Amino acid sequence: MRVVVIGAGVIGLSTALCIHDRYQPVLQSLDVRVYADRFTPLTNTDVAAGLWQPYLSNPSNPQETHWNQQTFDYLLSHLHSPNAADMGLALISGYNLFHEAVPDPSWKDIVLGFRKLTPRELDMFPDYSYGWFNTSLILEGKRYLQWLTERLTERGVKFSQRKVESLEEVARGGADVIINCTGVRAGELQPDPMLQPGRGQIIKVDAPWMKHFIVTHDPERGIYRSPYIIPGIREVTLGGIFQLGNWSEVNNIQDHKSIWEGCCRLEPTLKAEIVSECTGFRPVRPQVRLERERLRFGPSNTELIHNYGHGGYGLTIHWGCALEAAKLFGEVLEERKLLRMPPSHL
Amino acid sequence: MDTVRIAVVGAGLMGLSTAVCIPTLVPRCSVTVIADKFTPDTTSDVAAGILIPHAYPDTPVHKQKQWFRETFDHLFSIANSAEAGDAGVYLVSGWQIFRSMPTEEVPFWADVVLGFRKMTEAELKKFPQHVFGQAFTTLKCEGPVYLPWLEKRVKRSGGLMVPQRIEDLWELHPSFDIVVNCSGLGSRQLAGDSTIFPVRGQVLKVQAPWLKHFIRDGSGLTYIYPGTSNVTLGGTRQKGDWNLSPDAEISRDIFSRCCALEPSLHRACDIREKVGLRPSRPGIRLQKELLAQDSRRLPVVHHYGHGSGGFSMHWGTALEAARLVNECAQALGSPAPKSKL
Repeated sequence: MRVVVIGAGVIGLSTALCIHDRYQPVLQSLDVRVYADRFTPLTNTDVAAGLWQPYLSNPSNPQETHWNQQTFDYLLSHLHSPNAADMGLALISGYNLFHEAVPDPSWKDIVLGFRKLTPRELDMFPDYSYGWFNTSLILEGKRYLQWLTERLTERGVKFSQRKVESLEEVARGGADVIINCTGVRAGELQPDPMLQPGRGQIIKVDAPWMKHFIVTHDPERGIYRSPYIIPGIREVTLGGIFQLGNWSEVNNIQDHKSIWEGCCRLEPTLKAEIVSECTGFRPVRPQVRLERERLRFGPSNTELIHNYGHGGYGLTIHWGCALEAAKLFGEVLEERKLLRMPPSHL
Repeated sequence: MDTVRIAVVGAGLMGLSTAVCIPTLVPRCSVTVIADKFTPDTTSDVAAGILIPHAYPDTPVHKQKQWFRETFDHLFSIANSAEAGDAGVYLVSGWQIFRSMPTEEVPFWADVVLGFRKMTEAELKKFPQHVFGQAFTTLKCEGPVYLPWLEKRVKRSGGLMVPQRIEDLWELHPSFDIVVNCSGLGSRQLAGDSTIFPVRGQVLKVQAPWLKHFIRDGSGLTYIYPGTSNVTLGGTRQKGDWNLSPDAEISRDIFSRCCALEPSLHRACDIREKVGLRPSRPGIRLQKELLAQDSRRLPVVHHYGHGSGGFSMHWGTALEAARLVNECAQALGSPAPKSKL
């Protein structure tokens, strides 16, 4: 049973790990491979700040709320192990700021210690008049991808650096099941008019005294278009850019100014050293595409499981989606009568 | 009136902050800070500098609250300004956790820190040995950065730093008109105060940059305080122990207690040991004293004895010490006999 995962960002690698760990014990012939043209540190996951936080509004697909919760719980359970830092995982508290009162988000009971900001706290942010404080998680993309790669390598999962030109090429190459985790460029393999790049640019600075995230919101400008400051394990990510349909991979000077001015206004202590600046593309879609499709190339059927379109919340939702993709994979195995033991043994 | 010549003995947190406050209250004065140790070799450099007050049995609670509030508000405005990095002052959130219900669920300083509340059940799950906890946001003031910043401020207003060991306060007469005694444990000798004694604290400074929250056990014996360039793990409270050399067995014990609270610390590296002797006293001594010997008179303002609560109280007590210095200065200038002090 050859499974090819296309894509080595957080979605591809976590899905590969989830499927391997779930089914390898009951399917000796399971052979999982990861094909990608870009690996860490060149994926979009590497650019993400890594703060666990879903969008403020309810997702159009209610399953996504469940997947977000599953991811948070999964990550929280790893916090108590010495491995947490190796995974790029840590608890982080911080502020969400608004210009006016807003309803509480659906994820207020998922994060820890959610509460409204007190007047003295709001005094720190003169441009804002309302906000929340909560404890959430940081999952640094780069470190997490390295960790996932190590876990997969230990398990004998093979990586192959290549540009996949078509699903047919992979099917004819012997794949029984293809997991499509190609993120923002999924349209190159199969056109998807609902998928668009949400270009983001971020500046990483050295500001180790910053211990809290600060995310501002401006409903007039839209999500991710308002300044945010998110400390990672070592560096602090400054951002606030979201441009739908922009494929430019080059750092833009206007965007740089906008991020820098916005963040320095928000946090006057930020006289910090710039370490790096980069651009990434959020794979924006009205909802995540997580479903099966059956392809026919020549005489055989190839099962396809799509898992892409996670927008700006890929790290936030990844594990729940990996579990769902694994479940869909299980259905394929059942249909082909490949499972040795009943699923309850898993 | 001539310039009032003021000597501040001690260049730790109290000496330097008092030296900064004095010129703001006392017209026409000169300030000279005299000490055998300057940053980074003072006790204040070892402390983590987290603003969580220590309770003094002999100081009225309303006074402690006032000093804490003054200190917090002062540092809070620095933390939100462009000076924050230079001053080493910033906000940090975290938890104080208890293995058994504390007698006081809401301490006197709860409304001074930010966002004080009880921990939720979900938050307490992180600490299975603990049954109760408080979550809040407070300030951290890093000695090795804050003290040099204070020194700069003292020098900017014309103050001098003189490295010299003083064995007797009379050495400062008649060169100085008023002496401010911020010598901490040195007061045993300089002020003949036998009520001040060391409480030895050993800490580890480690690299663990992923830690963003403080964790303090309510007993005060085990704590994890993330800083700008390292994380402080503690600690010990050894009364009457003057030993400044780190003890390897104690280091192992501190590390193990902290890892029990925060398992990710097993990955911490570059572990360094430090020891500080807290200048402990049943109450902070903030008092004027007129030393007299034959016909000589020397007004002294005592400002020492903060134990574990130095950083939490320093600005409030420094302001009070400066007020006492001003009283002394006014008395010097008046035509009335000096004994009126």
